[in-house]
Amino acid sequence: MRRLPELGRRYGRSQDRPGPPDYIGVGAEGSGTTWWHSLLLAHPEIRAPRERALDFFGTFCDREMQPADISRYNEHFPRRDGAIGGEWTDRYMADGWVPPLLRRVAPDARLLIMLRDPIECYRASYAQRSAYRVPGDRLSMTDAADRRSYASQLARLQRFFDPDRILVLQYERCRADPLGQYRRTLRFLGVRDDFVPSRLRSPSGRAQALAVAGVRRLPLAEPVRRRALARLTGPAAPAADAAALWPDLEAALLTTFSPEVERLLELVPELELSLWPGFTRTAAPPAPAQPT
Amino acid sequence: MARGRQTTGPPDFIGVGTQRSGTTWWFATLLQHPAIRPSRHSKKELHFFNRFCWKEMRDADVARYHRRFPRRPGQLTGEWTPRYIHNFWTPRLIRRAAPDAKLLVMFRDPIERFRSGVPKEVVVVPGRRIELIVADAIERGRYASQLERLRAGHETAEILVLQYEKCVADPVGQYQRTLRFLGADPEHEPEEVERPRGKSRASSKKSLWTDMLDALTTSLEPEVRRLAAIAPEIDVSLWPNFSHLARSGETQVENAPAA
Repeated sequence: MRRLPELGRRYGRSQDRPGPPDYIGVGAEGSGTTWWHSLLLAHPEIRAPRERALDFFGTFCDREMQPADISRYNEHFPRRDGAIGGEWTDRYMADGWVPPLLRRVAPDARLLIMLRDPIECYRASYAQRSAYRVPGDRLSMTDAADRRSYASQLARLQRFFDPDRILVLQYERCRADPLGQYRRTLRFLGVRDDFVPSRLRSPSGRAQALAVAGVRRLPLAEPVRRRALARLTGPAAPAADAAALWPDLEAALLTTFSPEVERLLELVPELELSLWPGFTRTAAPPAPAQPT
Repeated sequence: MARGRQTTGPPDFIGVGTQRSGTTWWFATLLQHPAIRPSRHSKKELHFFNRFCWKEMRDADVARYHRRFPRRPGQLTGEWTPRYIHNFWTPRLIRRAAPDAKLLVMFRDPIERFRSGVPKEVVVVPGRRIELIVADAIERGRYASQLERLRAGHETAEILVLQYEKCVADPVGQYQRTLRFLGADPEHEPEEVERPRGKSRASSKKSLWTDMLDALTTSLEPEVRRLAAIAPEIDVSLWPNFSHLARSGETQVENAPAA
């Protein structure tokens, strides 16, 4: 019994203090956020929460959040001086009742968002949800599309948080230039940006290829296999888990997402639309020169 | 009484929205007109297109839809499924299955709609996670996005935008407006238009606390502003949760042409 305080000191736990998170990842579902957050948690100045995704605010769609709830939330983020703590729950951005609650619990937090091509995300949701579909389910595919109203969701967040406190990452850019985007994320969070996690040091190579081949051979359930591969290589490439859709649905998706993507471009000018092939036509062509 | 051989075919009208906005009342009122008849088995809501988020709609499905609408010469027939406008895949399918159908949509103050819609869904789908129900109920209030999506494939003149609060205040005037739009004799006077006929949930409406009201207003206000700009027949002053937009003239500003 007497050894416990010693152990606590050795691991620094007696100096840990809980408090509101320094950062909260708020979206988006199916956009490589597990991969990205695990890279962040490898950083020596970023302290892991007790659970990666707390999904803390869901219950407050049905009852008011009380001060005791806020204290309970803060207890998830013990850290020492010089370290920062946070969590990443993909639903927060899409669930309309959450933004005012985020401001109440952590008014100074920085928010992280990772966005991926909404049509690719929908295809992946379709593949996943049709496999586990409940007969008569009419909600889940409207929900799958509603979750991709990125511009409306971002604009809503900006009513509660200064735009400078929100970093919007693009999944496809992070895949193409992980180190550059990783450093950008670290700078935004205010921690040392010269740290390189081991997985970004050797993104490819024979050892990794052997490990990937080994995981593919193991008799694992598909979600477990996907998680294991994600740990080795990052999330699966979009084509691996996306379903092929039919022309009416593809066209309907484009109709419903295009206005959102157009507005998103206004809010996030650095968005590289060329990485979302379905929407490259959405970008307004330069206006023709007016005759003088 | 219409005479002649009964035939089936695409409906003449389809009500596409919105849930908890008085559509049952309005559909029942329309059916009082001698030239308007419901689908087979007198169903108001066919929910026919819902399933085509999971699989492609085939020509045989379209033929099956048409068989739901018997009518005699001179009669108009249709259905009213409030979730069609929220199902993003439906407008294109309506275009395919009923290219000449006129579309009806009834909008109600989206926060009042939310307060009524959440308890309804809790009863209709017991066991569904409340977070999904609430998220869906907020999304259903995004009227401007839904109307814009509808108009992407349908001419504005093919869509009648009704406002629940206007229909309550002036039922006969709005009834006649609806009949003119459908191409039915607008002089017909219904026996009963005064009373909403759907299942009222006034007593079980969800009560709102400050954070929730703040979240709903923030989520839906941009949509209400845009709706007022694209559908000037909507009188925002009749929506208690958004009447401040009308008072401050904000919607008018968006309506004004650019200088």
